[in-house]
Amino acid sequence: MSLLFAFLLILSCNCSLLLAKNKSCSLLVGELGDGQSKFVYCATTKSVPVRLCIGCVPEYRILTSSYDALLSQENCSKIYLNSDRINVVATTQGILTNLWQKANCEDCFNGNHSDLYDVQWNILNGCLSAHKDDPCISCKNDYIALNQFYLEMEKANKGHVCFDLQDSMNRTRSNWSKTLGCCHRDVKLNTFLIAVCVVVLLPIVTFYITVIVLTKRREANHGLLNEETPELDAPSTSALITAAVLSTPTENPVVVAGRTEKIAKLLSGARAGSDSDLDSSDDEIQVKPKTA
Amino acid sequence: MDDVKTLISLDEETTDDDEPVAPKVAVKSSPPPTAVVDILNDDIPTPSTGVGVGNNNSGTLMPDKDDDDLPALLDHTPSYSGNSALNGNLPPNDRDNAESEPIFRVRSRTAVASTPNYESLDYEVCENKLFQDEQKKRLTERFSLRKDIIRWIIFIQIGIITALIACSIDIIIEELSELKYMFLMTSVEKNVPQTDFTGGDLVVPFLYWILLSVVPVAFGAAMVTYIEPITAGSGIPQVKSYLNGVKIPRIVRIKTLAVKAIGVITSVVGGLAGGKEGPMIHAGAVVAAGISQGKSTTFVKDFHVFKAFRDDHEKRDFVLGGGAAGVSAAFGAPIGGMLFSLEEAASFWNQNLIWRTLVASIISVFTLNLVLSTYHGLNDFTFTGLFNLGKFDQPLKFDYFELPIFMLLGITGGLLGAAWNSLNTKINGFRKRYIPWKIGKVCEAVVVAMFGVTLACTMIYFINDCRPLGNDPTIHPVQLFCEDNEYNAVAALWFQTPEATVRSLFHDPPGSHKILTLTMFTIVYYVLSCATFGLNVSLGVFIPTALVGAAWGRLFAMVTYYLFPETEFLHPGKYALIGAAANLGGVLRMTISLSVILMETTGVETSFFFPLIIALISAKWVGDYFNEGIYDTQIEVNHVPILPWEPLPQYKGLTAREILSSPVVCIKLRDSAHYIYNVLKKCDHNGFPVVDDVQGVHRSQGRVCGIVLRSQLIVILLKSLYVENSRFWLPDTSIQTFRDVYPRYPSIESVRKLDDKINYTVDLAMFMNPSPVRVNAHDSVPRIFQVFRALGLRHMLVINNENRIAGIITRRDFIYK
Repeated sequence: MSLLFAFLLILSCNCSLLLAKNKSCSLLVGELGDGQSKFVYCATTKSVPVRLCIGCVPEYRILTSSYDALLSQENCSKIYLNSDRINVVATTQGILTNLWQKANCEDCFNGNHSDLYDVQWNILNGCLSAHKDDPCISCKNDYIALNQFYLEMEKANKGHVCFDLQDSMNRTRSNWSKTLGCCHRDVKLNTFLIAVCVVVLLPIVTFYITVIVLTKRREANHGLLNEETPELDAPSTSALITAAVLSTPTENPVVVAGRTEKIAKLLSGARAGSDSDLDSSDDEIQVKPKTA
Repeated sequence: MDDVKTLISLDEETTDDDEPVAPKVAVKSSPPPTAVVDILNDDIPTPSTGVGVGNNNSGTLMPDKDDDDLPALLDHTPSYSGNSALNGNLPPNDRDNAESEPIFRVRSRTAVASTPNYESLDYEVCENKLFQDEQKKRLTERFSLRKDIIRWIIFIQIGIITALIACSIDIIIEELSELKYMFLMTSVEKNVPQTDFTGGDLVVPFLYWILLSVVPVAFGAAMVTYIEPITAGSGIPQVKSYLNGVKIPRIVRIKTLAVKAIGVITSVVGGLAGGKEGPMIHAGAVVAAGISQGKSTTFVKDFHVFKAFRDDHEKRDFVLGGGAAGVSAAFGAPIGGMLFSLEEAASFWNQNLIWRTLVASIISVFTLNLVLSTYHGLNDFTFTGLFNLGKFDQPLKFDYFELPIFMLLGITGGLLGAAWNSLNTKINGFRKRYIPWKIGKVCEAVVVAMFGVTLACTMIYFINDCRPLGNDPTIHPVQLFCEDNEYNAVAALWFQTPEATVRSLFHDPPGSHKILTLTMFTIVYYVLSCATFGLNVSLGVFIPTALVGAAWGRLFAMVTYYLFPETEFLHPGKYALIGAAANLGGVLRMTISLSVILMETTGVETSFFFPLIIALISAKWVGDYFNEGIYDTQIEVNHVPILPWEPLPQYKGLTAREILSSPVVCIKLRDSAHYIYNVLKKCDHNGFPVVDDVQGVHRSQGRVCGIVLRSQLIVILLKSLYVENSRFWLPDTSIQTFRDVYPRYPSIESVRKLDDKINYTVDLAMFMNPSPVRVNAHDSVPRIFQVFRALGLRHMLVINNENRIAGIITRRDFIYK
């Protein structure tokens, strides 16, 4: 009897435990949904100017912790994750985390970037509101300091700066250069144009004129040949052939004479050789019957 | 002797006049041909020798035969056939024979002069007795597949080494360019003038830019010009000619490879409008030719491996694989690389070769990915290639009504490409005529580099195209005259390597540039790339062409969008891709390999193949109407005797008799060493028919029994392989004896002068190729052309009905001048 009671007790306990677990699952999901909606609200309201990272960090922390809680319960994660094709919970969570990551938000809190930035930014803004008449001159140093800080940060992070800061910096810059008109870049290109003429155009023109004059001079010596283009050549190549012929460097007559001499020697040698060869050929004929 | 003197002195006048005209090659051994002919006629019945001087090709006399008009040819024919009728009955007088050939005209000067001294390659395997012995020995060996396996291993090695070279070139270019452009950007930022006079002057970055371009370009151009002129240009025309069977001197030497690699690095870093893909193909070819031989003549090192592959035929196949591996490595596109070498480079092809080439390509791409992924710190092997044009994020879609637009773009590409080719040819014609000096060539490269920098700089300074920061993926924005928070879009285009610019044109979001910017950029780059190709630097034409095309394709999309803002299909990247394809098709005139390469480098879907092909084909059709592709134009302009796929129309209806060269310098089956020595001394033909049944000294009417190559004869003389002392050399002589000296055969000058007293005999039966390709004098030219082309022959013997030699046909006889 007592055994039966004990059994029932265990059973009921189990049931209630199961129930409690189920209940906590739906509770956890409820918490997650609540966290998501709060984060979405925060992110949307703080979209312009972007204060997503700094403004919504508590919401994001709650969101992630409640999602982790859901995941840590094995039963719950079984129920809510990979349940069907749409997979709502994971998808919505994924979208929100993706938004956070895309904005490089974690970077705001690494090494206190945002606080340091805010200090500089406040100095500049204080200056701008104090000197309404001549912001460009009075606040220039502050602006440069802020800009410098930002650039260094960007360099250190290899371009992945927290988007809050990016947006803020962009706004500051465009405010500075467009609204206040403090960006004084001057289109002064006179020196450049002079340099182009002296350093580039002059050498180019000189080079080509020299080349053409030299070639014309060289060709003047055999203008006769120039006209004598082979008629039977295909029309497209004839011009090129002429060009090729004419482009051959002139040679020293002494060299030419020397070469001719050499050829003559060679030929005489050849002749001598050929004579002997003729003999040998004759020999061959006599021998031939034997070999054949 | 006096005779000779007078002849020479008679000729001297002409020589003096001519000297400046004819290039050195032809001049070095020539009084004008006629003189030589008369002299030589005494012993060798060959008027051909004289011409052979200018025309090393082989066989016998040639070039002006083709120059002659048809009547002349026909005039000549009867005299020949008359001779052949006499054959065997009464030997005709040599003198008469020679005089009856009205061959030599003064005009041959031009033909000879304009044609550099190209030789053919011996693709025909010389199956002489030694070769057959070796084959038989192989058959008896147990492991007879060895040669095939080694061939695969070599192809794999080619892939790996080509990829390693490509990697190093790529990484060096990337790093140096990064340094250069970073420096220039900071310099620009520092020197922007301010209204309060705190800034500097913008002339400073301009001068730096000039300096940073001129120094590398001058260095590269000087290297190319003074050390190895063959490395100028992209290298694809040279490799193509080589594979067609033309011996391009020094094309596959290790020195060429070194100069090419340094040349391409310097010129790309110098900022010339060119790419590195062409040089990489050449580099692959050199690697292939080097590895497959198992020895280096430059370093005088023989590894005693791969000896079986030491001939032109085997080497050709390896070079093709190397070229494919080079393209693959350049683009990261294995199939594209294989198809490229099939479509553009190969003249001979078989099924086994496709497999081997594909393996070389794939191994090459894999190695490249491995190395570059490691270099870029990636764990998976996903860094695809050197010229990855960037993967399109979204799948590219097209609507059916866009197809006519693509066709229109293709037609534009064809027109622009044809114009580019013709303009480039004109510019190079100008160069050839006006800038023959080496120093002038270097100067011109420098001048063009300066010109390019100036145009770029002027564009950057004067076009005020400001874009807000943060929207576009610009890595190094330059502010210049823009407001804070903005960057200059023109500077973003110019301050990077051309490949990176192509990538940004493909992938930048819509509205990254002003219309004016892109218009100016297109025009400037079109002109600049046209002026650059043909300079004495090693640079390819692929990337600038793609860049110009991408620019105008994108421009088209932007203008259309500006006119009709409600249209939705105008994805600028898509039109940039189509534009690039159309422009490439218009300039290079290739279709399959280009579309596959573009697909493999951008990762577009197979469904987009259709628009690409439409653009490419229409570009090719339109372009072909006007002129040939740039590589073929280059080959033609350089007078490389390349064999086309089809016989030229001028040859239709002719017979072998009308194009052959005769009489032929022949050698008897058993001939005296002295005679051979003298023949080799006097004519530089490459192949000599071997004849027997010779009447008297008239070898040129003998009965054909084979053909022997010059290199073989020289080896025979060098090693004294005479009949009289055969017991000394016969046991040790094998085909290896002849392979050892390949590919730089000794010249006849290296043979000691033979002793006059001892009359040695050479028996060619063992050395000659007993199965030369013979055709009859009546055979039609288109038919024999196909035989010649398909077999990759160097000499084709023409015989009469009695199997007596009637003439010889070589590559040059098929080239119409």
